[in-house]
Amino acid sequence: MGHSKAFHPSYDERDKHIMSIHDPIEAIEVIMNTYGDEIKRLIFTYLKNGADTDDVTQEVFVTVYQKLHMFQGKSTLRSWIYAIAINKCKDYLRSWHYRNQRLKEKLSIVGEESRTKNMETPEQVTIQQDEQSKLFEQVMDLPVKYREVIILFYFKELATKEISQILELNDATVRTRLNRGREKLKALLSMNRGESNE
Amino acid sequence: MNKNIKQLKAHYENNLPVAFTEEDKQNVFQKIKAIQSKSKNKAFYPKALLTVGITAFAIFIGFVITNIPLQLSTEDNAKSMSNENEQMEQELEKNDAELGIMQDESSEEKRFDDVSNIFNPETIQFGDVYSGMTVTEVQREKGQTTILFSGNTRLSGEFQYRQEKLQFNVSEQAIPDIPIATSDNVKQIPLYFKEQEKVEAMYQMKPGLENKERNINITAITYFYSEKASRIELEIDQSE
Repeated sequence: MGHSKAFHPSYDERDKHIMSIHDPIEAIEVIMNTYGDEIKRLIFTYLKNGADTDDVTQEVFVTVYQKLHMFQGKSTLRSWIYAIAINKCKDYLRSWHYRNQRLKEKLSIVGEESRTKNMETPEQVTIQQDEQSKLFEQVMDLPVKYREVIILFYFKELATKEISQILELNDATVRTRLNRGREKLKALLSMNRGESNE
Repeated sequence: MNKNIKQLKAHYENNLPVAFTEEDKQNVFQKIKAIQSKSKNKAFYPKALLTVGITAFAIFIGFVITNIPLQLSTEDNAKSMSNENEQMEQELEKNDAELGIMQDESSEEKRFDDVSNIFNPETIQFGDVYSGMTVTEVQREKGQTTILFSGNTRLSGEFQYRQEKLQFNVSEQAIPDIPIATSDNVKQIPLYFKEQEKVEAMYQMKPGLENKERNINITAITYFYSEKASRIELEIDQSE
């Protein structure tokens, strides 16, 4: 368990290059080119919706532009941007607009499911989803607090110490959540296998 | 399970239907432009209002002054003059009073802004602003929350040594310039310096010289919040 990769130096070469750019517009462009894709993917794992992901990603980079002069290099620039992105996502998930939207979606899904449930055979479902996709879906269905540590640890390859800084949690809490997240995934997968074998 | 999840990384990177496009980038630039023009407008409106106010006041004074000679030419010069003077004085007093109210209001407004130095250590988060300083780091540990505020502020107060530790006792008017937790009292929290030796060198401070009001420029405040006893560390601007 755990990555062999060392904890990042607090102010790496890439950060130095970006922070040496005097024109803030040029700096934000370099930041977007460097981190755009990974930040957008991270945001998608929280919001699970393309349109919302677009909006929040853009907001994140606007905030980075506004606050870049406050970055003091006490963490890596990447961790700092991750922290901004994660806070924005959580604010969005707490917003009235999002909750209202989710409620409407749930109501329409209930109707939709009752119409389509009997149309899909288990074989069709199996064809559509291989093992990895299933596991990935299970990750995406985990509660946010487990999902975020799994994504940051396994997919972003961050050390637990760095994750604890980004999420403002204790290192021990991060490790506990990782363990529980894994256990939940295991349970969900074995439950699904049991269902498909029936 | 561990291995299975690790193998998902490629799936995560290749199969998520998202990519940061040129369109996203252009939208970010547009939003930045919009924010910049908004802040320019904000700066313009108070100036414009002030100009309009001063102009109106000048016109009014001009109107009052030009009317005095006309009144002087009437039969009862002395009487009308004294009346007019009284009227003018009243007007001026009225204007002074109005101006006074405005000054009170503006100082009240400033005081209100300054009051926003009180934060809740349980809910404070990255990006929040208190006393004009931005929260750039929050670390929650058992029994203590460490909050780093970054920004520039000027504090007035006195240096004081306590058991060779240099402290800064802020003056009454500088209290709103220090972020403070809801349950703390700034007068009871010791304010230390992160680099005492540098501060001593900069302000030529040594025991015996401390009781003198000083102004110091701060670039960061580290707040060690604890229910038992909080403390604050100041980082001084060394570019002075």
